[in-house]
Amino acid sequence: MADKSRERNTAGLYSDYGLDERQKAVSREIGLKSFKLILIVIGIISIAWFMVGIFFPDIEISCEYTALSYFAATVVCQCYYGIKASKYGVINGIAAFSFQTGSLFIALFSTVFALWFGVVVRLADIEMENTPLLAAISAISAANNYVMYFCGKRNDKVLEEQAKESEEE
Amino acid sequence: MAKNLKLKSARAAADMSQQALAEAVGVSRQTINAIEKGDYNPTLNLCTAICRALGKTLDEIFWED
Repeated sequence: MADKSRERNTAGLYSDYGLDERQKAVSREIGLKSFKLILIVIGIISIAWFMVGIFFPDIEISCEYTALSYFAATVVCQCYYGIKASKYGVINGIAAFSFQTGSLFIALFSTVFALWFGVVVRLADIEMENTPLLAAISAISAANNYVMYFCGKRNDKVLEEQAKESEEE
Repeated sequence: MAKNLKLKSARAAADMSQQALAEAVGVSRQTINAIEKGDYNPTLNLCTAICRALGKTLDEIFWED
């Protein structure tokens, strides 16, 4: 059986680990709004693709780009959750710390990939398949990680401000 | 929601800081601050834990006249 007494050193954005009941309540409220948002966004995207399929039969809708649009929607909703949660300082400490270290590195790495596939490959006329798709995935990943880095920083800042506020009280 | 001045005064009477009370009941200092400011409505479990830590009854801390 796994040793549950050991302190965790990993936790994701949606993890409740280390949060108290108020923080969990706030986090879940934002999570619910985020869930509603993702339903709406994915619904709109699905209808849009459906309309394109009906009214523009000449346009070929590739499976890759459809998947990319859903991936982008998911990332937008994750960013929404992260921004709102960091505003109230309810991102768990481990995730906030990992965003401030790992996310920036991944964001820079993804930016390099996005620039490579989006700019260098095109300018240098290198023959590669699906470069716009790869450039878009890299750009979305980069944007997501920059936002998570910002969220981690903001979360800590909010907690510091709240601590100062309670000291003054 | 109105400020919980009874909690604040009971905590002061017990000579406890927000941090000390938070640690005694297992929540963050921000949560104790939010309860005192009236920004958060705690669960019954947390209310009883706070009352135990301060040696008061639920009526004395959380009952609104």
